[in-house]
Amino acid sequence: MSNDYKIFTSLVTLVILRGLIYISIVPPWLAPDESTHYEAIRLIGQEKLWPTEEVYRVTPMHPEMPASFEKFHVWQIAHLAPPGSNFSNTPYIEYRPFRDTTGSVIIAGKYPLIYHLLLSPVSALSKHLNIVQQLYLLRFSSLILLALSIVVGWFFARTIFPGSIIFAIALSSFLIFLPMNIHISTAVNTDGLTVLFTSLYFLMLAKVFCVGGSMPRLASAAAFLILAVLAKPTAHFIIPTSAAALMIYLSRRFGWKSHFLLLLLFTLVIFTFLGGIFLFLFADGGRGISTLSLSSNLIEWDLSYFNRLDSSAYIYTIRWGFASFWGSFGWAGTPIPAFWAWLLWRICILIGLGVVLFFVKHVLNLGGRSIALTPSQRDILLVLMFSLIFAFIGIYMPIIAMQSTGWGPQSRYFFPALLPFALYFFLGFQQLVPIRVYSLALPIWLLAFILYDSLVLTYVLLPAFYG
Amino acid sequence: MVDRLKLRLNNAYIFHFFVLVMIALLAGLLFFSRISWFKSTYYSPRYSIKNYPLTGNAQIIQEFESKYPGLYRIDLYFSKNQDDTAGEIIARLKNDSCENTEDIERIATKISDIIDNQPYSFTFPPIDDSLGRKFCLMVEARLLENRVIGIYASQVDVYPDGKALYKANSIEPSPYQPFDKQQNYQLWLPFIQKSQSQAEFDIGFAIHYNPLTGQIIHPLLRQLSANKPNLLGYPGFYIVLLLAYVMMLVILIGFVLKIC
Repeated sequence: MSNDYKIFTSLVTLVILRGLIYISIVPPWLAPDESTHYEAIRLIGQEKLWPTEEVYRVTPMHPEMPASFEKFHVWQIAHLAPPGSNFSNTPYIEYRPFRDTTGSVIIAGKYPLIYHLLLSPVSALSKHLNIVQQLYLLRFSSLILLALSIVVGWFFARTIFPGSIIFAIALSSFLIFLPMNIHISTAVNTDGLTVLFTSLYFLMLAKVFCVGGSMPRLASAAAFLILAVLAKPTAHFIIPTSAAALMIYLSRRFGWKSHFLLLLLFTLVIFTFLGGIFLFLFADGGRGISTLSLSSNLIEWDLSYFNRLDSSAYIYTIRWGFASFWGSFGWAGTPIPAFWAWLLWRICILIGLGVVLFFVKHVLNLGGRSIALTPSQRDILLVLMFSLIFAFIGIYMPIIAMQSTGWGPQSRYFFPALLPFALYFFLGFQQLVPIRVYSLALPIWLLAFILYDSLVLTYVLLPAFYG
Repeated sequence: MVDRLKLRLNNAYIFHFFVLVMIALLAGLLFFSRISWFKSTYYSPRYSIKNYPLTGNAQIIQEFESKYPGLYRIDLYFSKNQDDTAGEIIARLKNDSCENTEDIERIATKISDIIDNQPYSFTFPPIDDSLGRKFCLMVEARLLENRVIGIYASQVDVYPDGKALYKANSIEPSPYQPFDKQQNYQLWLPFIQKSQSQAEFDIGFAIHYNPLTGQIIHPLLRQLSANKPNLLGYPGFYIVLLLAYVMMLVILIGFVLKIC
């Protein structure tokens, strides 16, 4: 058995084991929107009903749901009062089935249902089991999707860097040992499936650039693009990414000048930003695209968008996004200690500088010694950088569009871009490692993530959920 | 130095043996050390609806059950005028019943050390055999005349494992009665199991533990497996899962060091 295969097998085994740890430790219903997604899947799989508003209105929720919330102390862990309590002014999450109205946001025609359709057979087969057993089976199904994403991530990195296994290990380790990724991806929600589809799209894109364009690869990329866009609005950034990929591919093919290409790409960024606001306003936050139900209402265009919202709102959203990327667990938002966040900020800023350094020196080839990247590698890395820009636009543009922080950018909205993010994060980290100990970059990276994850598990999650 | 390190670690078997020995030593060390970050967050103390004044010989008591060994700290929330610095708060911890005359711990703290609407921690040496035991916390104040300090509490019964009782000041007529105070932190409202009469309430408190690591494993495994179905309902499952995970980690680290 070759080393490659041994390492690949151990990584896949590790993701399964880590997934089982998180599935078993995170109390039922505490993952974001879990009860809501469970009910939608149950309606489709067990009740054979399409989850419309009318169906929610007349179909009772699973009878064991409220008792299950109490049994696992979900309200206490979340520091909220349950519905029906006699406290006034009690802010509690309005989750279906606890809402008094027609309930869930998971409504056919307003929310993409690919994930729910995919898992509905699991729900149907487990109908005779109790509610918690059903939930764990659904969580395990999400774990399978996560494991597939890790496999795709491995081949993605091997495609771009066929000569060195360290990038595949680094990228896979990032995905496996990032606590929030495992937490979200092993829960019952749509993020895991969206990440899988976008990962497959990026793999095909990498193959087109690094191995060669062929009809099957292009068709696969297009298919995965459509599936990802239909799975969740957080994948919409791959639409402008595809445009950027096309521009870069054509520029290589027809020998365009680099200034012209960069001008085109810059224009694409501007159009993506403005177009994103446009679409957000009449496409229900992007869900209109995922459910193919765009509004025909006239838009009230107001050019003063950049003046209204106070800068503190943007700072808040950046901080909240950062916190929810590294550690804010469940809809209880169980946080990591403030000092850890402080330290992580500084590490990320340093690595961010490393990313800029890598990109300028080696991708744009501007000044200084450059490592031997092939033109294909430069091109795909350029595409991936723009995909990250588009992903960030996708997350933060709604705040500008809505002029409020009501659309809080949780980190899981960014997870469809984890593959390019993880790769660049490692490339940036490598820039910080002195040449003398360059070969220890990967072991340091791996051990740092393992240490962080272990601390999160023992210092944050276990005490918070079982104290 | 790097080359020498690589040479030594080149032998995979020596490396794995070395790592296993280190893990065993580390586990042994951890087993007999203490961890102090477990606390009962079951009932958030920040449900500041009622404020019970501790003037004269007023007392407030709260029964509770310790879920882990190593009970060593109890956080309470007080309301006071920031300018008030004279006087002291006395917290007494009793075993099982509040009728016990004997105190396990008696902690006096100056009023000046307490910050309004912030948790104040009463700490004492860890009680290693506190697992499953019932305790009674009694709080009273020694204040100058016309000074008031209040302790925050709920207005309904929110803690199922014990009751609270307020004994009003009987020394002299006091203008101070339990009152409702508007709080900005109404996010932190606890669970209600059933509707209660106005007389039943609980104070806001959080319990912290500082047990030996080895002591916490058994109750933690019991909590992990509680109410969970199939394999997840067995404590042994989590041990096996953890061992398998650590083993795979060691294998992966070994591979990575080998190729680097």
